[in-house]
Amino acid sequence: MAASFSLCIKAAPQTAGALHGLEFAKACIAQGHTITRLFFYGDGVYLGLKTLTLPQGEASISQQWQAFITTHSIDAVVCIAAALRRGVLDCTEAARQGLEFNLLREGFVLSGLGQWVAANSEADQAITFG
Amino acid sequence: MVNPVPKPLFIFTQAPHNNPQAREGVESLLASAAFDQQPAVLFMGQGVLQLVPQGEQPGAKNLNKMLQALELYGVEHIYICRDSLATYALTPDLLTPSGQLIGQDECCQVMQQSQWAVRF
Repeated sequence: MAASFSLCIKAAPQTAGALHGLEFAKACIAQGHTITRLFFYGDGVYLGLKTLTLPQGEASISQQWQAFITTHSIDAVVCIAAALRRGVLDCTEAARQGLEFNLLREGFVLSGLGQWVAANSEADQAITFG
Repeated sequence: MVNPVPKPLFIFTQAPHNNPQAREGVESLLASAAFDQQPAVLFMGQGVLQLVPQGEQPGAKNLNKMLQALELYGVEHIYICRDSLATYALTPDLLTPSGQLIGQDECCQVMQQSQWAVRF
């Protein structure tokens, strides 16, 4: 029977937690389940950081997340408080600081913890990585 | 025996000032409570240190004061691992907020009875 999942990713990029979360999310979709929402919290917000650049030969888990999110049009929310604390600003938040840039990857949006709480209520299962 | 708690469980295992994790845990717990999910919280390992009233940390909000607001947010189930208290030579009278002291077996029960759990 198909189930719905709310996933919270607290793991920093290039860690086992970030990869396990991604593999789990892919398996959910592959088996016909749905992902209510992805919520990136703590150091997981760095997965939405556009300027993260890896040495050649190292596969970027952040890019794989982004590809997965855009391919399947999954709701991917980055916690705004955790993101601002770590300098991950989208154009709206940068403008608020009088700056002009966007550091947030396409496919991700900044929003509040309420989005996570709501997704957990809605989904059959809530799972955290990291 | 621990009363059934078929709700979200927040497990706090980090010392208050090591990294942002402790604060982000408390913030998410308060968000869950504000949305009336009736979360429970379990302090274990270094997490019990969050319950000791701290001096002011320069440039940071006082985490312990945020925890003292748990009652205001309607967080009724506060569990504290008794063995962790012993590890840090703490006694219950030193803790604010206080909670239900439980052993390791009961910690397992609390986790099993929760709908889902998240660790910070």
